[in-house]
Amino acid sequence: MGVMIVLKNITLGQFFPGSSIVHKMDPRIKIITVFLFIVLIFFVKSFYGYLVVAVFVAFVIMTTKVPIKYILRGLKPIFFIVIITFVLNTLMTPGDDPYFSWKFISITPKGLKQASFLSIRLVLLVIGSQILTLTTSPLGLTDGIEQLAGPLKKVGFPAHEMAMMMTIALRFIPTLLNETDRIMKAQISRGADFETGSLISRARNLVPLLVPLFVSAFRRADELALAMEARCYQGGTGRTRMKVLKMSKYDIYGALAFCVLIALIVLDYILAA
Amino acid sequence: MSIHFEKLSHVYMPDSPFETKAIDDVTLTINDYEFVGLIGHTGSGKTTLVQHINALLKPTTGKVIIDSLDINSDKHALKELRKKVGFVFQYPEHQLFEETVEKDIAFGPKNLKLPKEEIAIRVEQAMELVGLEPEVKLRSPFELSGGQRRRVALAGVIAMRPEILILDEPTAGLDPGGRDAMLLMLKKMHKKEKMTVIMISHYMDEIAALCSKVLVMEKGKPVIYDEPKKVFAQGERLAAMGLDVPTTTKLIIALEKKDINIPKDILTLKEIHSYIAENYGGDDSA
Repeated sequence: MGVMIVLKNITLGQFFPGSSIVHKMDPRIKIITVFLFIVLIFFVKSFYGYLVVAVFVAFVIMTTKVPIKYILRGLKPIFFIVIITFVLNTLMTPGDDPYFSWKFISITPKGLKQASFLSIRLVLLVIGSQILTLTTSPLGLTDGIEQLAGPLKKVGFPAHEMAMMMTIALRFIPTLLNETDRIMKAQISRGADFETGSLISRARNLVPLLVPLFVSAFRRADELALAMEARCYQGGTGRTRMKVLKMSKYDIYGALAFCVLIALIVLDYILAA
Repeated sequence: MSIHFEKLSHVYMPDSPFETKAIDDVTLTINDYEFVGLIGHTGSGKTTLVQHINALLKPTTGKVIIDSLDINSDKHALKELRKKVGFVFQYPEHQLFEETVEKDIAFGPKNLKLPKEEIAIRVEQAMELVGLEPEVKLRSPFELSGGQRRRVALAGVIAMRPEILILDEPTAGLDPGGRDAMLLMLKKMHKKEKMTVIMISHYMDEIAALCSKVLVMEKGKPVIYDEPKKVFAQGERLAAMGLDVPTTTKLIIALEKKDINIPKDILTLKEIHSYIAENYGGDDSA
């Protein structure tokens, strides 16, 4: 039963619907901002700088009204990476005045500082990108990426095709999950067992699930291709959009707030230097 | 076998912005050998409700009791339970996977660890029951027609000899001929195998023709559970829930406007015919 419960609880991407300023911002601006934010984090030189960034991030999270537990959930996968980074950096950084030293291992003030900076950076980095994916619908994201990658078309980068593929893939995740759930339940009703047995027998038991799933995925792909062609789809050239991405006052608010952060970090950089 | 729901509720994705209450405090008993038609608007909780009967879904709160056994109390009872409850999903032909029709139908009985000879007998009988020619046994299910494939899928469930059979829109997507054949088959099977049958359907004519009871669901609650005659006599109430009445009921309403009054609890054309002949005279041979 475990698998089914997992399937049931998967939310697409991790979009958390809302109507905050951050939600209303243009996806392009958000993508650029997050990109700059990630670069910016590496220029922070002091603890005060990180404090400023943390306050800024906390402020943004508060405006989005996304429950804090969703953001913490996103940190779970990197929890171990952060711990390992912290421990390794603490122990392996050579420096003066060690608190403790044994063979090549030593704990120094410099090591501690470097370790905490790196860990904070990692956490902020993940939270920053979390805010982007939590407040932007998957479709908005792909639209934004397509338009931002537009100039690359000149050098032959298939921006439109990439975005279309991402959109279709995203569109079909819930459909295929539903299908998986249904076929799985149908086979369980016929006595199929997906949970017990050795690894090999378990793999073999997946056949009654995978064969119908592949068949239906191909059927759907076929139908979709036909439907797109029937509506004269010919790739990206000359195609207009129903919902044109537009900048609004919210983007100006967002950009201004971010400029304040940039200014503070630059100040921190100069002071520390 | 009888089925009893006791204060059953089911919540999808609890504690998330997508939380929905699909089944809301259902208490209901379905007797042995009943043929229940389950109707309700899309999203009224029909499929969710029936998936509790063989523990594909677990109640958020409440109990499902089948023949005095609380099916979620004992983990080992699950296998036994699924042997007794057959479930035919929507578009069941999508679940076929084996190389031959025979192997696919044998999948269920094989999982029951039955001896080979017994499996062969069951496959044969199931094929006969759903009206499949013995010749198709060795063909691949993927080269059959849609209607044939659905029969194969149904045979796969029948071969397990369930005592309760659940069908989720068994005639959806079939042509009229295929639909009639399917209904006839279900009627015969219900009689012959003495099963309790629950059929979800959007076609009121099917329900009127087959069922001994009709269960109407709305917003996760059963609002009516009664004989088809009594249910379909409440046309306005059904219409308010976005549901239809059988064609015969519509005929009666149309005749009413011409001052021919036939009680609304009559459900078959034959009955209407003899009622008119009896009460309004005329030629009985017509």
